[in-house]
Amino acid sequence: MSVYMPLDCDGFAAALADYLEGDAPEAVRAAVEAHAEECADCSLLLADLQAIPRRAAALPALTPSRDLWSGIAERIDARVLPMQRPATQIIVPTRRSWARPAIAAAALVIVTAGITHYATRALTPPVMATAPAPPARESIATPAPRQEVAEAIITPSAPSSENTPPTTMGQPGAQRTDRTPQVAAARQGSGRAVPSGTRLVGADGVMNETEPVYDREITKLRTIVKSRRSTLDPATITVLEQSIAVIDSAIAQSRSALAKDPASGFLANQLNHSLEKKVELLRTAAMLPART
Amino acid sequence: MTAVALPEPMTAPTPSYVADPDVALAAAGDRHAFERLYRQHVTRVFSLCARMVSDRTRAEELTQDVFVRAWEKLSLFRGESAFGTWLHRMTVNVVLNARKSEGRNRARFEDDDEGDGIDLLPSRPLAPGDRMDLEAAIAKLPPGARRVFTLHDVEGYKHEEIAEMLGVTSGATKAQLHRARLLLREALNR
Repeated sequence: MSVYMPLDCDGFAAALADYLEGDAPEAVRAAVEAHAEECADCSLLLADLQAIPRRAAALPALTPSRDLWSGIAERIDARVLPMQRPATQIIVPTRRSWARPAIAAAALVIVTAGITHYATRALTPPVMATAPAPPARESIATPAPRQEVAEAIITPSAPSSENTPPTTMGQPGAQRTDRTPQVAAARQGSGRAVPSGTRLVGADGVMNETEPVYDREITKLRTIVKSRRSTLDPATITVLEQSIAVIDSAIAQSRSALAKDPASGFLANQLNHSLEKKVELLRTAAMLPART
Repeated sequence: MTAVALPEPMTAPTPSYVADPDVALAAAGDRHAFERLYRQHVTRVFSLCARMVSDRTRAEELTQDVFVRAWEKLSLFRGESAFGTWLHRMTVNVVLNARKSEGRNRARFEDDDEGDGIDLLPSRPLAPGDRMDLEAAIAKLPPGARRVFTLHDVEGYKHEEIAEMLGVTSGATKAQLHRARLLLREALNR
């Protein structure tokens, strides 16, 4: 800023911003005030600009035209699974052209892995994976003699939400790990201890108990998403539905394979994983901000 | 006898959730406590949203987004600041993030302030003596100037804080603020 003193009206206008912010050097401040004393227009301009912040700070609060709580409560009431990864990592239906192929590829991998495992299972010894694992946030503690294991012991490759059963979410802190009553009851009933990081899944084990819980969560979330449909972007809804269709296909195939091999812990885990993906996707959709 | 000045007892700052039990209850999952917090803070959150986006319907949606997000993040609230301050900052972030995503949806990078204040013209000519009030004049400001004016002059944030929120320099926010005030003066005196 170049200010030539004494100030004319243009110089006054040029110096005014710094003056009002308190950034002007002392000499410039004095020149601004001197010009304002002798120029009525500039004096009025200065007074107006000094009054505006005072008036702005005194503006009254605005009130919404309706009670917004019901819409908020609807969105936070649903019991949903914890999201251990950031929502942005979920393949959410935005305008990313790679989202659909990525979901399709993931589903294909899940299904192919399941079928391959099923096809080759007969050639391998009974399923028993007991490699060391990172500490799980929670695990179902039920060690059993190997001979007694009716279900497969699956060791998670990493602590992720894939092996985390549903929780009583819909409350702050997606990290909370409340167990469902069914799973908790199963744990209490077992009375056994299992090495940390392992998790039991089986056709008549965790899956049978968690799947109805997933189904209930999915039903609730679908209701929320349906009610919010009009507020979401149509393109988002389209991609969301396509993504859900892919996951549904993976779920159906996992269930079909599991029906033929009910003892397969791997297939149970795949089904568990697919259901969880679906819940995560629906939960993300339920939380999406409304479109403009 | 010499008086010995005892050191002042050291007191840790009291977390705000201790002062407001509803914050602690809500953080523990008490929805009714959270509803009470909503009732307590909704007008301030809505006011900020409404003034920043200049669209009351959109502001209501954003207000809901703010409280849903607050519920999600409440367990992370450590009480270092007042709950209202924390919520207020979250409101600013939600509004600014919405603006970014809406900008992407429009699939173009636009200068928020293109139009050079033309928005200040009222949709209908004002009758003689019919002066626009400050609230209406703020709503007519170009978006960039409106955001800075709202955050600085209405909400009391400092330029450095606004610059950080908006990802610009404090020099830019000062220029925006001055421009906003000049445009408001013009509108108010028209």
